[in-house]
Amino acid sequence: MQQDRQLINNEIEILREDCLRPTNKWSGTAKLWIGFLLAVLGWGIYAYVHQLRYGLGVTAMRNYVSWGLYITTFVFFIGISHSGTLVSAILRITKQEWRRPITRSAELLTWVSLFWGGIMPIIDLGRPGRIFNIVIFGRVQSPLVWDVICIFSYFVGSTIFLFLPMIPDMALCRDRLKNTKTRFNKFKKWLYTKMAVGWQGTKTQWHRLEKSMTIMTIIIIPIAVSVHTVVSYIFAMTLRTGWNSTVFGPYFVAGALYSGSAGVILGMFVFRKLYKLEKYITPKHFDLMGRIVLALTLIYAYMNLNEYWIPAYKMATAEGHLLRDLFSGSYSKVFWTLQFGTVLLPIIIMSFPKGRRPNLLAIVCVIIVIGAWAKRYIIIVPTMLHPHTPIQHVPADWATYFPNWVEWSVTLGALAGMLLIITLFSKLFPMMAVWEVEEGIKINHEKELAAKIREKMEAEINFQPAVKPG
Amino acid sequence: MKKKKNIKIPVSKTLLVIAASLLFNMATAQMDSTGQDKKESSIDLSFYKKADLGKTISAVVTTMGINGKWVPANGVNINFYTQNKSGPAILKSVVTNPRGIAILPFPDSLSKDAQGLYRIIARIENNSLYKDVEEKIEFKEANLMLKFNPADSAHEVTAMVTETGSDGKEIPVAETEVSFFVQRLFGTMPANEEYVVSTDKDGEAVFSYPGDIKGGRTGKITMVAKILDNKLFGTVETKSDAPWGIVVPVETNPFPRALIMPKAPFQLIITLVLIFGGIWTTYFFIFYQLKKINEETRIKNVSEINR
Repeated sequence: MQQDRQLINNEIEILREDCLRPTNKWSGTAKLWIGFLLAVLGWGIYAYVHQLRYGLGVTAMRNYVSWGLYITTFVFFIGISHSGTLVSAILRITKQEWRRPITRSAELLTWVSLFWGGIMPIIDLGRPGRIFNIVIFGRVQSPLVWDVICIFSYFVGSTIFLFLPMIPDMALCRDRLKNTKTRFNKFKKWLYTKMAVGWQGTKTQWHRLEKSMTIMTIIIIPIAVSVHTVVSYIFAMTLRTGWNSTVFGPYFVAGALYSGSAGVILGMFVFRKLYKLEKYITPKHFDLMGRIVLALTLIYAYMNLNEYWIPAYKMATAEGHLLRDLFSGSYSKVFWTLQFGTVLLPIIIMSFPKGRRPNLLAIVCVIIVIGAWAKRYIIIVPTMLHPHTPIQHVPADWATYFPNWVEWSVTLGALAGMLLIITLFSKLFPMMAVWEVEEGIKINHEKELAAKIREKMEAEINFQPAVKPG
Repeated sequence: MKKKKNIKIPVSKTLLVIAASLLFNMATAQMDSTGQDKKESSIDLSFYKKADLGKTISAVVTTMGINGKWVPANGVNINFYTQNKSGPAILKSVVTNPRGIAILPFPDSLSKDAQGLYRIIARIENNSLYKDVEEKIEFKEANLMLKFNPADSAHEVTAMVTETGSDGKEIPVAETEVSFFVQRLFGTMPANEEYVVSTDKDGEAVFSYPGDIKGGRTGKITMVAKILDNKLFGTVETKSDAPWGIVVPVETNPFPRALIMPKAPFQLIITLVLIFGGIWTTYFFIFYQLKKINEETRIKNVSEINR
């Protein structure tokens, strides 16, 4: 018994070391990577300042395509933000033990993508100060107002959902950080102390934390679903061709879950490699996540079929023009690449166990994530280029749209900003919920111990000498 | 026994190719081809005499865009010439605006020939993007006037079309179609189903405005008469106000439909307040729990540290 306890303690100590190591070491590569991200972000800020100075006219957006790359990226980021909810909340609620090492990265991805997702529409405004108009003049019956309320509520909820499981880990970081000679370490100590909110690991503290986490786990799922449903309402509640659809809500949610869970796998893959977490994030995790992504891709494919097959069967006048452009016109190459390359092909690959191995699955997920982004582009841009009133008596370039350098720079800047936050987070905080994995180790040992005892008892029963009758 | 052949498909590379082709397709979709031969274009030339007597010559330039649609050509240099006895003499060069229109203000010095005709030529010449194109127009200047009695209950208006003779006298122009419109906020609206009347031998076209035209708060309507795209006179228009419209009070509830109404329905407000009130109350409950966790430190019990 004593030996078992020692064994568990050793294992936990190794786990703590493994998880906290990246927070103590800033390698040259990491610094270079951060420098690169800062440079891209800086360039994005420069492009944005250029846009602020000269107005939205410096972008490729015009009267007809007024939602271009920025809103595409907004919807994409909001979609990715479903990752945390799915992986963390749903797996928590269904008590999936294997979730433990991957919840933190999923929750972080949710938070960061929501943060940048919320910024994108402000960038699209041209005059960002006008964002307050939605508070001052917003009408309760406007989907835009619902959207702002939902996203803000989800952002706050996701912050809490990310923060709550971090509290015991912050206390661990606080207690383990002995060297506070440097300014940076002093800052870290201060940060950990503040974020640990006085955590001592008492029974009452654990009780309060678990209660809070259970409540948040339950409440965050409907909020997340509502967010992407309401994002879809911005499109579906207009009378535009291509958006005037009743399946847009579930279609967007399915698309978000499909891309979000692929994003989680990418996060798992990167952190596993970078921080040498192979012992904790195993091929089994990839296999299970691969199954989830496969199921979600199948649901998404089904939603896709409904979204296009029904109007294509009728080919009503206005819908017909748009669908012809998608099926055989100027967007057909993208459309069919998306359908076959980023939906059908991943389904085929992930259907085989080999396709759910870490390396291949990561590549499939890259394809899915790029495809999800391109799908948002296909939903927004061709529709805007097919208004009910024909495009006429306007400059030729108003009838087409392709993002220019300003939009690409700002968007890449946002992407770099997202990766920068994730990188900095991983250099300051453990990327796995240490206490949760510890709990998993303890549970496993308890199970093993119980199995041993059972085996022993069974053996004792089996070896009882047979009693001769009479 | 036959040995099974292991055919390895480079899945990773295939997927990367798909990703690259997706990005490439997106980049090339909708992009116009460059580096091709000079484009075809077309000029539509017209003379326009406005109601304020301002006169212009317009050249609308269109070009073959993507998908075979004719679209306005922006930034094209148009050379305007007048046709003299000695040949074409340049008047001015004008660049088309984003709507493909190059407008030449009517030059006062422009002279007409013995038949009273102005002759204008518009050309695209030596353009790096477009092939050379030429369009000619010959026109006379017509005068259009409206006569009416504001007190006339039949709302009858007479449009008179004349041209100025070589002796300076006004000569009535017969058999010219005049269209009657009403000015609306964003343009003109035909005044009736039958709104085109030809002038008689006295150059007069008589038209009765219907009595059910809405005239805003004051009941005033602006009558607009136009000679539209006439082969000889181009487009000529004139305007006049008459008190023949129906007085329309200001709409107090302009959106009496669905959720797009000015005030949100009570049920919607209640639903949103309940949902988001519930969510935010939960958040505040969590904040309260965090506060309590923080307070626990002060009454730390060492014996409870290990769960």
